[in-house]
Amino acid sequence: MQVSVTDVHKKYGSRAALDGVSFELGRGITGLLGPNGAGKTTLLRCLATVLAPDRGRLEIFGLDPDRPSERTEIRRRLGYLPQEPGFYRNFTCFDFIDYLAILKEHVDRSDRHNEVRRVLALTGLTDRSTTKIRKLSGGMRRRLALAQSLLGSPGLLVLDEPTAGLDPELRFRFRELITELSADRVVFLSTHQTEDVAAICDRVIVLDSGRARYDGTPSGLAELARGNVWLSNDRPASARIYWRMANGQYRAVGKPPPNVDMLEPTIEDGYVMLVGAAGLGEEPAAA
Amino acid sequence: MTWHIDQPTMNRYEEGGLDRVAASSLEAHTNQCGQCRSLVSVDPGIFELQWLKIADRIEVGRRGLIERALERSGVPDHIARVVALSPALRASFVLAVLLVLVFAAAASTSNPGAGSYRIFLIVAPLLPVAGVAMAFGKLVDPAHELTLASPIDAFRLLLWRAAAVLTVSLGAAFLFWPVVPAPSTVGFAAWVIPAFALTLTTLALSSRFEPSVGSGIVTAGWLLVILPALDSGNPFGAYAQALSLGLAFVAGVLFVLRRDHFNRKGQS
Repeated sequence: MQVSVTDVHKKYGSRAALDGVSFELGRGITGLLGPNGAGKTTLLRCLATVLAPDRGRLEIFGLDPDRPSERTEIRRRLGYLPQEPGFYRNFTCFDFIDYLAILKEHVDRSDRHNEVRRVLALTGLTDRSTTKIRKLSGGMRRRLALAQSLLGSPGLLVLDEPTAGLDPELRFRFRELITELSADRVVFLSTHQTEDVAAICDRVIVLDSGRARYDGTPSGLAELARGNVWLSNDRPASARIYWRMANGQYRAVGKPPPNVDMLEPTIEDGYVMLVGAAGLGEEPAAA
Repeated sequence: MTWHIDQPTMNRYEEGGLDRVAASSLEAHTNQCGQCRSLVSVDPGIFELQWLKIADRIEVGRRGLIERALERSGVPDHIARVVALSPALRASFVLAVLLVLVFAAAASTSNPGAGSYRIFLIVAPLLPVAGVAMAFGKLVDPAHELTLASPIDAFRLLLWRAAAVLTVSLGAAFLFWPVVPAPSTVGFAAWVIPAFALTLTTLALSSRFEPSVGSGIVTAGWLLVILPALDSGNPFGAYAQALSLGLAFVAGVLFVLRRDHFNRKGQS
């Protein structure tokens, strides 16, 4: 395994953001799902080596981020897209990526510029290279942020909500790019989009209140809701969550009443069963 | 065409062996003559190189004044870039430093002989402190999180930027020093040593707090100490200088010892 997280704890004041999280990551795409405040960003910041855990052990490519020299080596092999990457608004796309390439030790000017052109092309921003960042749309900025994470072809990509703010076409392009990249590297991404998890992730971890509540395949997550998703003609009183569909029927998730039409569960249903149960203080579904 | 270029002449041209007149004549002729154009050997690498040079001219933005000055003085371009990007080195900060110095110098010279020169001595050491506050950290650097995650040593980056800030702010203050009507017993070092001490203290505190918070603490501490001391003798005398040196030493040691705290948040 290329990334190992063992019993990691992190507290902000008295609140535990991470409460004993353990897992391992290998090649491929692993998705991280969880409600707001579950600790996803804290976990990703720890993996990106910008935040030290209070307790527990991280190992990335066999290296220990607590040791400065090993941390530097990890960072050479890391691509990180933070949830809110800051931009120098008056920079052009090219200059911004060029600056970050310098920080990533691309010292030779000519090689560096070629690398900048490469990642701009990968993210479809070649024709925007001389555009100032302040003139870019939110989706374009997200692509620019993704471009910087690809500098130097890193072996580990840590992406915090990479598809947030992207329109459907860009999301598809992102999926295409990430699946291509994941063939020979570790990709760990957090998202609120369960469709992204279903579409590209080999594995999903659900984090809730700082703990990993599920670690398995996306289809396994959907299976958690099997027998708990049904159709109803009336407002379903016993449902944990439900919504009215275009045809006037209700799609409900929760404990079904007798004699209802059961539906094939989705990842979203499994996620609701898992996190909803925890949120309501009930016994969680078996993970 | 009544004449054509022979191969040896073309070879000399390609090797740069023709003088300017002969080369221009050859170029004008090959533009018109397909037969002679076919003698020109084509190296795709040259075109690629030329194209990249053109792309660089188009894509790479114009460098700022400080960045160009750093590059001209022999600083490698990548270091010049990361240093010059500090908000503390933007024109607005340099202008603010100059304005503060103008006012401090004006206040000091308006009532010479009454010890008003001390206004300048109080203000000048705080300029690099303000510069450090604007040199590094998440409050002033939008890409701070990305900087932290990169392999560049954040401690070294802060050192480069602090050195640049010190040069700019102390250099500007030095220019104003001759117009301040200070007694001959108060020399340039009177405020330079406290400036170093305050800057190093700010840097040391920045390993625990944001640099802007550290500089706020240092500024408040400096004013609390210096203002009452103005009424009770010379706060820039030998004793005060020795204390400043001691503070600079302790802060410098702490700054170096805690260097890893600039590279990772929450480091124990």
